[in-house]
Amino acid sequence: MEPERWSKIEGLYQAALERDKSARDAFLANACAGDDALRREVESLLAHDEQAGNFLETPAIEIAAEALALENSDLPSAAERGQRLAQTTVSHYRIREKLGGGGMGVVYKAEDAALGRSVALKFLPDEFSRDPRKLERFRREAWAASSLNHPNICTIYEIGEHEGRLFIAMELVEGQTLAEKLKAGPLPIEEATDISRQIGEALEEAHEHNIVHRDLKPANVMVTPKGRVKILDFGLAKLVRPVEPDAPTEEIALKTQVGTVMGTVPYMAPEQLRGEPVDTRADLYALGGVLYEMATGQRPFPETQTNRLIADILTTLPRPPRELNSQVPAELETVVLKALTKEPSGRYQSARELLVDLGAPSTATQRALPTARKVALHPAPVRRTAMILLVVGIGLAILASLVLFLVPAVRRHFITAPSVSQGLPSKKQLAVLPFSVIGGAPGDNAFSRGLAETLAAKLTQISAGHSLQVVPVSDLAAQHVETARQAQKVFGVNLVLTGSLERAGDRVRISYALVDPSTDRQLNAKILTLAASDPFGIEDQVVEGSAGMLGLAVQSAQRREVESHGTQAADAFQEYLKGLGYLQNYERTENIDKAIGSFQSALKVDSTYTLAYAALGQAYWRKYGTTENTAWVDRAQESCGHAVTLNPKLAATHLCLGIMESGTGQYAQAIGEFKKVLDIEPTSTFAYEGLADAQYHLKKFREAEATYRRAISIRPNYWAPYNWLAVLYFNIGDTEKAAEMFRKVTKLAPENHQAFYNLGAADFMLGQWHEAEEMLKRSVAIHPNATAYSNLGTVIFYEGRFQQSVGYFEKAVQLKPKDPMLWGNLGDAYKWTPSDASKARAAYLKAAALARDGLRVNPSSSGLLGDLALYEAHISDFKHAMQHLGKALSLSPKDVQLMYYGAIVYHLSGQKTQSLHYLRKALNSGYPVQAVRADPEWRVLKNDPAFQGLIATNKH
Amino acid sequence: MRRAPTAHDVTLLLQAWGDGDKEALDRLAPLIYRELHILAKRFMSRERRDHTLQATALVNETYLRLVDIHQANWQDRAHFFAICARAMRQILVDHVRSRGSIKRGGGQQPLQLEEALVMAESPYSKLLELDDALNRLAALDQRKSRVVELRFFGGLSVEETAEALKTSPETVMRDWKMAKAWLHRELGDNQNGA
Repeated sequence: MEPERWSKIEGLYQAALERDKSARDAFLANACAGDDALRREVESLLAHDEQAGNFLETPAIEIAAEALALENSDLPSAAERGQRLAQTTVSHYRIREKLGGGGMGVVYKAEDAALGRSVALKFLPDEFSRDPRKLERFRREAWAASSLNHPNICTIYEIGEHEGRLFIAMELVEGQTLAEKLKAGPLPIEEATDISRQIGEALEEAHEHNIVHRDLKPANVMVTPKGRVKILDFGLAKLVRPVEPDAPTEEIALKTQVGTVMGTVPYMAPEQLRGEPVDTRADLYALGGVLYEMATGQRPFPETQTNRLIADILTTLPRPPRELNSQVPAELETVVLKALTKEPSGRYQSARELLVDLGAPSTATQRALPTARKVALHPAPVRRTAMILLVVGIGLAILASLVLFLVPAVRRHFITAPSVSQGLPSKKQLAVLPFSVIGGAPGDNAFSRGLAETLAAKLTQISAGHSLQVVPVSDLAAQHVETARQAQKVFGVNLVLTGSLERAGDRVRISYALVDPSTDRQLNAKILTLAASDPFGIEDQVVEGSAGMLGLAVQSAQRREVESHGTQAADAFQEYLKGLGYLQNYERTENIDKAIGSFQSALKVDSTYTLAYAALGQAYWRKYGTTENTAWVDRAQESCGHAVTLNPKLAATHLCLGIMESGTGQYAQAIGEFKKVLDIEPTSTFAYEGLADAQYHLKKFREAEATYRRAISIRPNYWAPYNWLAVLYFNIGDTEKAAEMFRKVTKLAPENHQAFYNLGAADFMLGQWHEAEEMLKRSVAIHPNATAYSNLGTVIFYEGRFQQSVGYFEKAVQLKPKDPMLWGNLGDAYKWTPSDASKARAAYLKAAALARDGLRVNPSSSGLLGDLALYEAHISDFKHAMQHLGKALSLSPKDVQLMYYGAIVYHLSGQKTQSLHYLRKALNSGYPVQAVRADPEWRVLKNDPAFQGLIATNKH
Repeated sequence: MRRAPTAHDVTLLLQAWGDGDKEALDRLAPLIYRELHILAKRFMSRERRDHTLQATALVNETYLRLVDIHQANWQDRAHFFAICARAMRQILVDHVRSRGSIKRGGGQQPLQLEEALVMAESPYSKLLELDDALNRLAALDQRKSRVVELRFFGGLSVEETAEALKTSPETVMRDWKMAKAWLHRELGDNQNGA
């Protein structure tokens, strides 16, 4: 090709890219007039530009390494390894003999050299160890299953790895599988019933932990010589099958099942076969099938050809067991057939229901048995207090900070003009409200919100001289501020920028004004008319116009950078702004999906649009926040990571990454990222908040304090940094300083409900219950919220009005059903309210399950670990309670709340000396003695001299 | 303590190669391969929670370990970047060629159909095709070809690439975008993975 030709192609290609997609055709037709080949060439390049996506965005070395990794995974086969393993040591296990093998891998008998006990080691099939996604999933599930502690569930001790293979170390169960037993024909009815009962108990326990077995079958049920049943492979079933990230598991399960061996189809529930979502009732169906087989010696659907078998399960009714075995009692037949009902809603709805029909004794007596000895020490109910102290901000900080500063750094591109405009306050506190949309197309509202957000962010960056403070739009949205008056009340602003946006054909008219919120008087106003297809122009002109109104001047040399938008594609920018707008109202979950859609569209137009990747990461993170599905965390991290690779010099990319790392417990890395943000953008409040929070989690309290103080010095009239600092003081036990800071917050933001519930919490800790109650009621009056309700419940609870506290806690749980602490509090209130006491256990179980979910995402959260320990102690699972408590305390040894939890956990388990030791520590570290006195848990020790002594010596 | 290709070794070898010492590349290759294996191993291992993020971090770390610009007497950072990317390209492409021929079995057995399909789609063959296409691009537009070499093989950022080519980041972005479109077309459809 001639060089001239190539440069012609390039010129046209670049020129076309700068145009809106819709305008390209006309442009090329005109520019290539008469040269069709030229036009085709440019068009094909444009088309490939769109398709290129991530093409070449992964460095070559990574691709080569990936390929190598793939190659190296052609390791010796399972059989070869099995041979080798037979005389080997794996971790601290000495392999003794091979016990068996199957779909779930090979099992060996081994000896735990450390503990001197025999265990079973199960090595997973090769396919697992190759796919990191499966591995990760496997770990998570196995970990969840390992939390199950029940005499009828085979205990998982450890999940380990040997030469790149995963193994599970578990309880070695001597005996035979039910499948082996059944080869000899039906079992005596009594034995069949007894085994079913034990399986039912195990299922009940697992289901309470939200763990569904999914593959219950005779081969997974071990029966010991003494008749004790142990269920294997809990929760692992869905993992064995090939898992595509997005495909429903059961659907895939079916695919493999149909094509290959019969496997477990005979016991699968109809909905499972249809690939529909499966819940605990599928396990009850499977139990029905197992019971059928034990009673009759054959499966409910004896067909052996898979396709026909599936059809039978879906459409035909099993023969009544009594037709096959006349010894089966009529009641048992009823149980079996009810369990095997095709529609889940027609089956038993819980294992307990089934157990009742099988004639099993009630839960309470069953459960008391295993721990009877320990529990006997203190009669009856023991537990901790409802005190849930507060939510004061713990955990809120990082979520609140989620809103990223998603605007390219502009730093000092404007200089502050020496007092230009008249009538403006000397210390300007500005809120930018979303421009109202007149008429307009779908998405215009979101666009207008996004525009306000970037406008506020750019004005913030311009205002390096600190004479102007701009409230982040995300904060306005979080407080539902829509009017100038509200902005003044909640954020104490003295200026508001507001406006409207009106479409007329392909033009947009924007009018905007600077308003004094105390009088609603317009101080200055402007009207612009621009092409609707030019969002860059819209933003640039509004930024420049409002900067002028505020007395900020733009230096011409830096104009280019001020006007940088991170992309050159108008469509991409427009979508990006819309996405930001949607995300502001993330509380409506459909908005998160819309935001994701907008950012993805932006990236489709411009795959190098770094800010859009960072924003997409944020949207995924929000999605995780609402769905609590950890798959979104992965996506969020991926997106932020990609943003950093694209442009590490953009503050937003590091902020994005920092927030994800912090949110997943990688605080040291998070600190690095936040510091990078501050290098690029030294006034970013978000980065200060994130940095200090991470420092706090690494127990660098002085550093965290200094970081907050720096943030305050940058924005002395912005309430949020005071609040963060207060939370820090609160968490490290300096309650008086905390209260002082919280009080400042209520002064700076008198309409902020958080300010009041935080102050209420601090007052409570200082023993000022009356004030606390008042502050909390003010908080609820401003805005009904779960935190204040829960804390109000806590205060009332400590005042001994248990029944009244139930109402507050129930309100809290309604507003925030996924917060473990709120459920734990409710459990406390139920426990001490005689008419509700029976509901307590369920509330604690729910709380424990939610805490475990949270720990899956952030395994080093000492708060969650402590909560979990408490709930476990409450349901008498002391083994795990101690473990989790120990871990929590080693992570946060100075956390007063944890010390108190420690006192309660030991108290509940009957270890008085340890309990009082922790109680002493908690009191010495500032835990309010009043709260201890009021905590009904201690009633049993009321007359105990040691306890009395402690209470007496701590009088504050 | 790992004693292994130090950044210093690699930097000196790169320098020697840049100065015309052809053998330096042969000595450099094993060091790069070693890193490649370490990287591959870590890709396979369990510490890899999130694919992209971790991979990116690992790759960056690898580069950092390999080349420490502060230890070298490069009068010209730009020159160093260029040499580094060129060496990386040659070594990786050589590596891929050698793997490919081993895999193909050196005439021992005809490939089974399934395996042949896998090979055609493998990242290896893509890298080789890309190398060829990049040579063709160089004939048309030297600078764009170098942008790709620096970014894709050298792992450089847009800014560093601009520095190496003594041009502006905007130009690099424009070149990169067009070169990607062109190469994408040259390599046929469905190249999103590479």
